[in-house]
Amino acid sequence: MITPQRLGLPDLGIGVGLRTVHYRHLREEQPEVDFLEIISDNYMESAGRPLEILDELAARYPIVMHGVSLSIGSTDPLDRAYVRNLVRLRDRCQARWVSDHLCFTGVAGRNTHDLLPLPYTHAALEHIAGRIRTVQDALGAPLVIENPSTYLAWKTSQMPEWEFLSELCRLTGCGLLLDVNNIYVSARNMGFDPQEYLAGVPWPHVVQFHVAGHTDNGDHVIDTHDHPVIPPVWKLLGQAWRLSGGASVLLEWDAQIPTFPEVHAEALKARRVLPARRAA
Amino acid sequence: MSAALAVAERWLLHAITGQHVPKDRRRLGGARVPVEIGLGIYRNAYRSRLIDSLADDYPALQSLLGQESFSALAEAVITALPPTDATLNRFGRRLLGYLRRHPQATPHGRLALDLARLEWAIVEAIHAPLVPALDQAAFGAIPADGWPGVRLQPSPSLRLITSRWPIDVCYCQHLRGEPVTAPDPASEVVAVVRRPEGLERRRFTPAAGRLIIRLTRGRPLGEALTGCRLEPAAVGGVLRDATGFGCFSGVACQTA
Repeated sequence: MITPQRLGLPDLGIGVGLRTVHYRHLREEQPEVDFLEIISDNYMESAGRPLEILDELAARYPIVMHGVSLSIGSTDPLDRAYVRNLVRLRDRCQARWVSDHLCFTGVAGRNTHDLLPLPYTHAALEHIAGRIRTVQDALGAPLVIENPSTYLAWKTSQMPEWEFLSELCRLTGCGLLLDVNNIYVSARNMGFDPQEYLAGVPWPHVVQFHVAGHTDNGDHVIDTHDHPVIPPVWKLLGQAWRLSGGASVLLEWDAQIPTFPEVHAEALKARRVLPARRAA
Repeated sequence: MSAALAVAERWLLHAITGQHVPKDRRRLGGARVPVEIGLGIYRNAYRSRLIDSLADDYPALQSLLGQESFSALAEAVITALPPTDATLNRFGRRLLGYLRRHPQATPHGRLALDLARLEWAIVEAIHAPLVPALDQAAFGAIPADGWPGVRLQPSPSLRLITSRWPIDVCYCQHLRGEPVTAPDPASEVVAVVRRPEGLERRRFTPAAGRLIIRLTRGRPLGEALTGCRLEPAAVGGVLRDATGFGCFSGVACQTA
């Protein structure tokens, strides 16, 4: 069976992560933006103001959902209430797809609210594939999984991250959100070659790209989302975009956030590395 | 479920959230970044994220306590009541629970707790649904002998905080960008409500506040007035003020 490009999902263009500091600008100025990505968790436990603003923006902009707490790799039982809330929110804002990270955020009833690294073992693969299938059954659509930035490696890992992701895609039909900044950060921290990573990506499953800035501490790099994107990451995006045949690009900026026009202008720098037909 | 994966995850959880970095780190290795640096990044991110989340929810309290004391309080909250919810939205409530159990945790005691109650009320009001406020014209339909049986329905976003401190004065200092300072004691009831134009706060006298609190708990007006030490002539004004402010979303009148 041939997997269609982007799993048949649309290329939405170049978007920006929706942040509260930009609510006013987006509502009052109504700038032209290809799409917005929301942090799902910020809207799932609210019956108030955040949802009202999301309703308003979803009427004007295409929305995609990006979560941080699905904890798909956890060995705790899958939080089915969380999954139900995801589906409800997806239906409410007509999100084009739902993504989260290849990680676990907690275990033993605890939650760290951080994206913790998994050992890339065959047992973990089987465990996570089962959970992805359950979520996809609830969504009635592919779940989109993002490669994390990592600062630790497990000695028990049996395969590199790209192979683990590729196997997950094969086993479940899930989508991939390829964060090229995370590839850069993890490559520096883990000591692998980003080109080797790109060579192992199952491209027809890539639905979306992330770019972001990071903090370079010399002997290690931290995915802080508080700086402009550096040229090597833009270059990686250009390569990845071509290999994928084209997919939506989104800039994340989460700390020391500039004005919306500045963040949007940073996102639009992606045009410099995309093929002319896309950049136009 | 993989038993080995479960053991590994629990080990890493404790390595990141525990008070001390584990000495035995044989499970980890193979990265270019040394294990102690990698673990330190996750340990720091865990605490920083939670402290930042509490600081977002409690900016006035942070100003009152100062950065160092607030961080120490937040660390104590994280250690005593670590997060278990899937989202961070509810984590802030744990600081309130901690201050209730440990009033000596800050040098400001009850003032710190009450200011935290006000700030958490604001967070809750933001996430509460918006419903149309009661129109005062609805009172016109109440017969003269029906007033003792009047029951008022509170707006879903309404939060009422009774304090022996002028906590709203502290919150106003924060809103003006001034350092929050400890005021002299003065009892007040602060109401917080969400309206279409945004969040609103209103101070009420203790007597007026007592009446509004009783009404929001479903007591009929006649019963609510008993013992609340409000001058009879002032009752109409309090009802108009509270209704105009948006405390209520409905009214029902039960006649005998």
